[in-house]
Amino acid sequence: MNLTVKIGNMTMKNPVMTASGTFGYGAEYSEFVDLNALGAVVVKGISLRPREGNPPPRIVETPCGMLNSIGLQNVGLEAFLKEKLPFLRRYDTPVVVNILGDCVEDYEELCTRLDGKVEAIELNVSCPNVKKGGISFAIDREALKELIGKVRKKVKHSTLIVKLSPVSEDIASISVLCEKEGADAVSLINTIPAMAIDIETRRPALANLIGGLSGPAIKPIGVRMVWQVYQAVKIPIIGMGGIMNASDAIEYMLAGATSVAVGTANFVNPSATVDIIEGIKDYMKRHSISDINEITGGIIWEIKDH
Amino acid sequence: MSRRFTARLIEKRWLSSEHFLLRLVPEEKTPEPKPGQFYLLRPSDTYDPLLRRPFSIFRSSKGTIEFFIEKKGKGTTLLSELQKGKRLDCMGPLGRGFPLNILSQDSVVVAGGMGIASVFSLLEHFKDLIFIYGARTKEQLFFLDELSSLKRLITVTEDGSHGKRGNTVDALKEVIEEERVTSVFACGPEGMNQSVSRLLKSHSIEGYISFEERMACGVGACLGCVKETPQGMKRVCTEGPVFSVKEL
Ligand SMILES: Cc1cc2nc3c(=O)[nH]c(=O)nc-3n(C[C@H](O)[C@H](O)[C@H](O)COP(=O)(O)OP(=O)(O)OC[C@H]3O[C@@H](n4cnc5c(N)ncnc54)[C@H](O)[C@@H]3O)c2cc1C
Ligand SMILES: Cc1cc2nc3c(=O)[nH]c(=O)nc-3n(C[C@H](O)[C@H](O)[C@H](O)COP(=O)(O)O)c2cc1C
Ligand code: FES
Repeated sequence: MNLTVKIGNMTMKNPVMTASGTFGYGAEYSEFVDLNALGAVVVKGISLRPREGNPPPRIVETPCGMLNSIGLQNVGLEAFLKEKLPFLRRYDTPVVVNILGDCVEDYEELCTRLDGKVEAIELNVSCPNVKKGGISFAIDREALKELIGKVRKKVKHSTLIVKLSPVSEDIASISVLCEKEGADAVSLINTIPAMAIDIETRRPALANLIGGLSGPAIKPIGVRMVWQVYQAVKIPIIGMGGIMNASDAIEYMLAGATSVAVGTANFVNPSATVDIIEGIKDYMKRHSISDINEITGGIIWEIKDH
Repeated sequence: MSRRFTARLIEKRWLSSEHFLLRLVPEEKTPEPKPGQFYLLRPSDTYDPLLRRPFSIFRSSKGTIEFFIEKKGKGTTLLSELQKGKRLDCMGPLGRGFPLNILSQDSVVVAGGMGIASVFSLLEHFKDLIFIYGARTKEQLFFLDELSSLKRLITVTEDGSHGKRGNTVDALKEVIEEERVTSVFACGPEGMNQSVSRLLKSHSIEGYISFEERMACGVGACLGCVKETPQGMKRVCTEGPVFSVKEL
């Protein structure tokens, strides 16, 4: 049975990776999961300098999901390279670093310094572009085009992944733009901006008012977007959003994902990733599938005319 | 030994219409909890509620762990409806507990309301100290029989229905003024915790306070449970829930 998949030039022993921000820097969960069993570990978003993030409360549960407003708190590039990466290097598992910046130059420097040191770099483009009045790269096509084009020149050895946001208008054409500018893969979806209010106190549930919705509640949106992107591009897709078990993972793969990332599920079940790998094997056995890559885009469909 | 295990519910005991004890037997060997540490319990096998809920270790003895829980919302209501024999998905013991090595006869322990859940095991560990226990009314003071073996128990209630009328912070102030106090251990609502911290700082008394914050992962990975401190954001689930007053 072949479980191996390729994302750019990164080879994964199975299609299951962690979703950025839900698995710390790997060490936090190493007691609960054998990191060697994972397809890849994706770490919390890293910026050039350390960030404090938003004030608490930062999380609140909503039906079949949760909102978070962590605000991209992270240890910064220096500390990541010195204190976090060496631990992950002890394992035989590719490392993907999710990065974020205030402007194109930040991303360029991060890429220059990370290229070749990690198997893949994932651009989180859901961040405000400070030099353009804080409009997110995910919404501003011109800025996104410039960002990927410039960053591509800096990433010579690692695989370059662009992480798409569900707020982007017409995600399929955004993914085409990513492919044209040289992205090796796209990952989606990031969390969906959302809000909750405590009606007794009339206070917002999060100190930051708005947070990102994740978990089972967003799965059908993620599946739809992966399917739309699959129709539009040839580069591999990393699907995520509400994957809790192997059935969810396979659903994403049938829609077109080559690989999947597990996020919120880690909080509910710290061994979710390895449970999903086992479940995928069972599915393959049950359906006599010898190569996992056969599942990707395997949805059977037609639109009937009336 | 794993900090992720299933445990069987062997006893549920109601102490009021809103408060209950759950006694669980882990089905495998798990590390011994220290007072002030906590566990994450999964209240349901469905996705609503989704996340695990944190609870302090109330009491532990050979092979059993016990939690004292107040019904608040969806998760705690589901836990209160569990039947004996039910198996629960647990993680723990997690976080940093109280430092037991500095407990002495000059220590004071303070609990406000549900804070009793976090300090009770400390009091079982060492009884030769002063314990200040406060709640809104006498109906919200629990375990008074068990607590009667302490060197000194001072109760306070907001309505004066048991012990002195007033709050735990004023009671602590009085004790500090009258006795030799070298260390204080406290757990209560946020407001009480803040006031105790300020009071101990102004008297330069060593103190350890247990805080709450909403949690998702419980293991330091999500950065959801942070507390703002002069040295930056600290994760309540890993750097806490017990913080030294010096860190605050
Ligand atoms: C380290 C720690 C130890 C705790 N120990 C105990 C204990 O021993 N006994 C006990 O009864 N409770 C304890 N709590 C509080 C308990 O976790 C919450 O009351 C519980 O999660 C509420 O869940 P719910 O689904 O019933 O309520 P929800 O419907 O989720 O919410 C009801 C209310 O509880 C608040 N709340 C939700 N989650 C938390 C949380 N993680 N911490 C604080 N408040 C929260 C919400 O803001 C809301 O106001 C502890 C909390 C922490 C962080
Ligand atoms: C607590 C938390 C922190 C996150 N941090 C990041 C981050 O730093 N960078 C990023 O690109 N996505 C981040 N995400 C988004 C996830 O990687 C993922 O895209 C999203 O949660 C959807 O997947 P899920 O439903 O499986 O969690 C975060 C999500 C959560 C819940
Ligand atoms: S609950 Fe996730 S870091 Fe504390």
